[in-house]
Amino acid sequence: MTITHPGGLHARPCVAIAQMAKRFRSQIRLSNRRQTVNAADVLQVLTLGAPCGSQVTIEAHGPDAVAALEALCGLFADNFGMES
Amino acid sequence: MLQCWLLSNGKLSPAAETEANVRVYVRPDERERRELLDRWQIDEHTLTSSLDPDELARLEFEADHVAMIYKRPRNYSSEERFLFKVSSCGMFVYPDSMLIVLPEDATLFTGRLFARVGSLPELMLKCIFASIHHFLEHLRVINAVSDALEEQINAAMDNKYLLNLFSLEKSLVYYLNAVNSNGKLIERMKLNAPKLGLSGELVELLDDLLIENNQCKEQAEIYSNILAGLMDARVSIVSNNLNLLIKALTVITIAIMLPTFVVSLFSMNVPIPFQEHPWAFWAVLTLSLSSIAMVKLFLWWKRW
Repeated sequence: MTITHPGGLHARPCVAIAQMAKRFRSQIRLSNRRQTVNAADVLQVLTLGAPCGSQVTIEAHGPDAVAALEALCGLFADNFGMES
Repeated sequence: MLQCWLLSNGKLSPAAETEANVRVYVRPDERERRELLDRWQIDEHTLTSSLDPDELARLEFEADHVAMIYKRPRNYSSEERFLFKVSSCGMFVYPDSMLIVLPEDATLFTGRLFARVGSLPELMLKCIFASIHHFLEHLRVINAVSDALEEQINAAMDNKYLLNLFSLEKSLVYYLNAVNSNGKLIERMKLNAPKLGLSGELVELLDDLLIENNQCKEQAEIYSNILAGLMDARVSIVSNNLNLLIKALTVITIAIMLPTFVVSLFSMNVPIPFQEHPWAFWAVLTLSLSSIAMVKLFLWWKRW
């Protein structure tokens, strides 16, 4: 997914991602060029530091992996539920 | 960097420099600073204050414009290690135009709030409104991060997470100070509403701003008090976790010490009893294993 929010992956989107990822039983991981983090751990997601326009890969493994991917991709596409 | 906007017919849209009535200067360079000082007659001290993150919010009436400095949260970046900082923003309102001076790049006019803006004084109030909302959202983030850190601290033995909590506590102090400062600015604006050219509707908006800001302040105070109050307990938890580890290591050391003593006693390079006995090796081994069993029994009896 490409980050389109002007502020990039800053504090508020990170919390939205972690809260969304916690709803699923699957292991969800986010990665950019520098590192891979657990999407359900807000402390790790905050260290990702992806600016606007950067690419983030979402991986999910587990019983509800497809639903988790759909939900997270929707969150990215919706600019993390933030007004733009 | 200069961003130009046109406020016309209740809509704010990007515009060319010649027709813009809202100009946003982000980290103004020397040429832009000269323009602000010479063309727009902005006081040099006020301009410097707009770019200084430690400056307090304030309102000043100049000959041809109103100068205002308000506080806004800085966008969090991963390098800041859980330290949420605040920044200042200068707003200079003229009868037919408005200048905004920012020390760093920020998206100002986003969201429903700016979908319809009637006048420049309304835009000025909405910028402050957006800043209060930004503070509130960051407070929610701080709360979520603090919850996540608490979970980690329950099993932690090093200071890393405690130091992160200290950073959050420090951030809340910065936020509280900034929100308080904005509160004073809004109160001063309310007192000078006629001088600022605020209509009855905008004075109502100013009242809403004051209420929102007070709620934000109270929320920051509550989070700050909770974090500060429970910090000692969290330090004790980390200390206890470390003590438990040391205890486990000590038990292992004692459990190994006794059989080592038995074996070393029978390993002395001098004549020892039973050394010629055919079962001597097995006897020493049995004695050594029994000592392990004894230590284990003792620990079980003591419930360690």
